[in-house]
Amino acid sequence: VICKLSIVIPAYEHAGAILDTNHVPEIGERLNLGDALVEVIELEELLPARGDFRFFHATCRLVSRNHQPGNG
Amino acid sequence: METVRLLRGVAVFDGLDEGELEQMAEICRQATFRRGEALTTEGSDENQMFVVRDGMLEVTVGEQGHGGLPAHTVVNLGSGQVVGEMSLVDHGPRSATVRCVTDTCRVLVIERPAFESLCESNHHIGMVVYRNLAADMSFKLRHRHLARR
Repeated sequence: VICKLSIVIPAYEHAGAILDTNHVPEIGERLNLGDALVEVIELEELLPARGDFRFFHATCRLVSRNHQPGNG
Repeated sequence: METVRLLRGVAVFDGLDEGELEQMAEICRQATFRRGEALTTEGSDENQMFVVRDGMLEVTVGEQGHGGLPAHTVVNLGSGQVVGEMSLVDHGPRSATVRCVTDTCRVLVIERPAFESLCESNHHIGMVVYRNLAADMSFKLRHRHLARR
């Protein structure tokens, strides 16, 4: 399964992100957005699954800024 | 084969069979960008679409003074996402500047003339990929709406 994630970070000056993961994220899971490390606090399925793809919207909170681990 | 494997995991190519993925792979080339490098510049007339293999891209509008708005980032795009698809579809100038914001970002590059030629020669590829591109742009719009709530 491949999950396309729409990620927003309320109350933080960040445009959010869209990225794919190879699993359904869990609440509490941390995601690297390149310039920020965030934690999933809410997850909802945004669209019906299509083929091997699922589509989610994740609301996240900021864990740390300027996270630069290399290849995101 | 590696490019076929990569394409198989990208939603824009979902619905293509192995032979069609191989045809698509033949028109892809690989490129690597470093932190701060721009893949596209707002207002320019480039015609490529990019598929993100890894790394993160920042999509910014207003840097070139178009639209009279202050420069701001509209979204960040990571692995599996496409960028540059708007000019592939509407032939217009770039609507945003896109930069690498991780140490490196590896992408697949698809040139519009080769893509259109492939879609003309195999209408099933054209139907599937254009439908998926529409769905991808719809997903980006949904994200934009959710980000503004």
